[in-house]
Amino acid sequence: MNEDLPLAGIRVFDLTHVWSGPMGTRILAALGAEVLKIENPDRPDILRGNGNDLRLRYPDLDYGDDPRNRNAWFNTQNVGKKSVRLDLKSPEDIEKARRLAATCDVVMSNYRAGVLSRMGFGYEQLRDLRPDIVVVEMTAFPSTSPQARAAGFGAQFDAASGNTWLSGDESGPVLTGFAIGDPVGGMFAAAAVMTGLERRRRTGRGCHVEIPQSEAMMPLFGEQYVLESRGTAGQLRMNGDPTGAPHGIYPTANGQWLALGVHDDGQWAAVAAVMDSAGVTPQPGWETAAGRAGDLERVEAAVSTWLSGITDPDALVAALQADRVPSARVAGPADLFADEQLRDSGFFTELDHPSAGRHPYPGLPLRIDGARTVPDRPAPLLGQHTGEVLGALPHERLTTGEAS
Amino acid sequence: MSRTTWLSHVTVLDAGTSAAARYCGWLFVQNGARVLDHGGRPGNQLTEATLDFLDTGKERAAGPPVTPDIVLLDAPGPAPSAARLTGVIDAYGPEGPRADWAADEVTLAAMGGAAAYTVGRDGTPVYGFGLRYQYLAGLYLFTALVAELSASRPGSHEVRVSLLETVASVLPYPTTQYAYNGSDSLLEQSGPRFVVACTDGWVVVYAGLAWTAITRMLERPDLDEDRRFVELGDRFGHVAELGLLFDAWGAGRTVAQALADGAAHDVATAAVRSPEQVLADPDLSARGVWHEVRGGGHAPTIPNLLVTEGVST
Repeated sequence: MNEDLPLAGIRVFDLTHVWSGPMGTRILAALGAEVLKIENPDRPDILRGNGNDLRLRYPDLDYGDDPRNRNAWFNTQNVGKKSVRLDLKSPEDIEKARRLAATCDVVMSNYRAGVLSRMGFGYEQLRDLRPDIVVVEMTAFPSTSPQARAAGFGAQFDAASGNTWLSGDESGPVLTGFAIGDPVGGMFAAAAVMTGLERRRRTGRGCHVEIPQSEAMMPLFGEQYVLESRGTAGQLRMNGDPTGAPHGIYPTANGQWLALGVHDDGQWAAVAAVMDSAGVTPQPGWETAAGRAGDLERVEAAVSTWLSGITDPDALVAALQADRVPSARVAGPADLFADEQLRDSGFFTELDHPSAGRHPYPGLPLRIDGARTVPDRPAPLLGQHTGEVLGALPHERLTTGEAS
Repeated sequence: MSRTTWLSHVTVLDAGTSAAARYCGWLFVQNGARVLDHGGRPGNQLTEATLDFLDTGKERAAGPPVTPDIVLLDAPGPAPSAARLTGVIDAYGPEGPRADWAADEVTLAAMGGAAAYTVGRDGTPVYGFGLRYQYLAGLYLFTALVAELSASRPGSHEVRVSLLETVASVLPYPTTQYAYNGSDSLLEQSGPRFVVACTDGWVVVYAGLAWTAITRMLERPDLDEDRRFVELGDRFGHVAELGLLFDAWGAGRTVAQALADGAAHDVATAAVRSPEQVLADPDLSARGVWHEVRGGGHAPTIPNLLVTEGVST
C-alpha cells in the first residue's frame, strides 16, 4: 500500500466485471485503495477470456497454458488490484464473502439493477455488517426505469444518450469505435465513491448510490442539450465544431491523417502562411473568424487540397505547433506506444506479470504532489490473493444479517 | 438522477479557463459545493452555450476575499489564491517534449488514439464532437480532489491531470496489445457493433455474443453454421458482410420492430436517439434529470441516482 496516496487504508469489495466497473475500481486502486476483485473460480470476469477468443489479445498471439491470466484487455484494466476466489452461490463462500465485505469501506458492482441484492450483497444487507458502508451500484438502466432489469452494453449507452447521433451528420449517426460509454460510467462511479467517502468522513454515514450507465454519458455534452432546449442547435458537420474554421481530420499524401483545429485569427494567420508557401493561397476575407465561417466550404476545400500534398505530417505538425496551432497526426496503437510525450513523461509503467511477462501498461492521467499514480502491481492472477486476504479475516462467524 | 449537497462544506475558487477545469468546477456545484468563478477569460473553444452549461450555479468571486478549500486552474497558472488543495489541468503534462504544445478536442482525440477507432462512411477518422475528453479530464480532477478531501491529510496538496493522457487512458487496450504481440489493429477492439438504418430511424446492434441468437433475429437460420460468423474472431474478418446482413434486416423494419426483435432474441439493440428525443423522454424528466441553466435551457445533472443516504452509526 502506498501511504502517500489519498485512499491509503480504504478497502474495496469489487464485484465489477468486463470494462465499465473495472475502469472505476482501477481509478480507486490508482488513488491508493486496496481493491479486492471477487471472482467466481468457474465463471471469472469474462474479460479474462477463455482461450477461445481473439488471439490478438494474447502475448505472442498465444493463449498459452494459462489463458485466463494472459488477456491484454483484462491485464490493462485491472492493474493494481487483488483477486479473491469466492463462489457467491456457495453457502460457505457466501459466509466468507460477508465476513470480507464487513472489512471493506466500499462495495462497487456493475450488475443489472436488483442483482446485487439478490446475491445478498445489496446495501440493505451490507449495512447490517458495516453501517458506514459506501455502495455504488452501476446499473445498465436506472432501477426505477421501464428497462430496469435489462442488460446493457456500451453501444446501447452511446445510442441512448444522444452521443451516436451527435457524432454523425446528415448522412447518418456514427457509433464511437470503442465502447466509450463503459469507461465513462466507471469514471462517474469512482467519483460517486469519493463523494460518498467524503460525506462518510463528515457524518459517519454510508450510502447507496446508483450510476445508470445509460445516462452517464449525457453530462459530457450538456451544452448540446442547452442548444437543443433553446431551439438553437445547428447543423451537424462531421468532425466540425462551431468554434473552429477550419476544423477537421484530413488525409495527407503519405496515407496518414492530420487533425487541425483553428479557433482564432492568430492561429489562422500561422496556417495561412504555411498554406501560401505550399502554393495554396488563402482567399481575401478569410483573415477573420466570421469571414472563414461564412465561406466554410471553400476554406475546408483549400485546407484539404493543401494537406493532401503533405508527405511528412509530423514535420508539419511540429511547424504548426511552434505557432501554437492545435494540430496532430491521428495515432494508432504503434504510434501511441512510441509516443515521445507519453513515454518521456512516464505514462507507461513496466510491470512483471507472472503469466504474461514483462510489458509496459498505460497509466491514468493523474499526478499528486508531483508524483504519478503508478500501479504497484500487475493485474492479478485468478484468485492470486485468496489465501492472503481470507487468511487475515477474523474467524468468528457473523451474527447479524445472515444471508438467506 | 440527483444532485447532492454532500460537498456543501467545501468552497472552490474556479480560476480555470479551459473546458476541463470549468467542468471540474461544475461537478463541485452539482455536489453542493460553493464555487466561486474567478472570472478568468474563457478559452477560445468555449461557446456561450457551453459557458452557460459549465458556469450555472457558480458565484462571481466578488466582495471580501474568501480562503477557498480548493483552487482550480490551468497550467501554467499561477494560482490566484492559496488553498489546501490545488487542481491543475495540463494540456499534455507538466513535463515532456510537448508540454508547451497547443491542444483542442480534435487534436487531443487524434494524438491520444481515440479518433483512430471511429471512421465515417468514407473511411475518415471521426473524433466525435464537443468537448467530451476535456470534460473527462475535469472528472478525473474532481475525483482525485475529493479523494484528497476524504483523506483529510495534513498540509497542502496538488493534483494535476493531463488532457492527452486522459484520452489515452479511456481506450480499451491498444498499447498493451501492441506490446504483447505487435498488432496495430483496432478492429477487434471495436465491436462488432453496427448502426442500422430502419424505415423510420436508426438502431445500434451489438453482434459480439451468441451467433445463433443473431441468426434468429435476422431470420436467417441458413447462416447458423456459416464459418464467416460463428466464431467471434471470424466475424471481425467479415465485418462488412455482417453489416450488409444487418442493413437488409433493418431496411424492412421500423425502429420499434427492430428493438422488439432484439429483445425477443436477446440481442443487444438500442434506438439511436437525437438530443431532441432524449429531452422529450418522460422517464428522464420524471426523475429530475434536467436542470435549468443560466440564460435558459436545460442540461443534464450528474448521473447519480441516490438510493439512500445511509444510517447514523
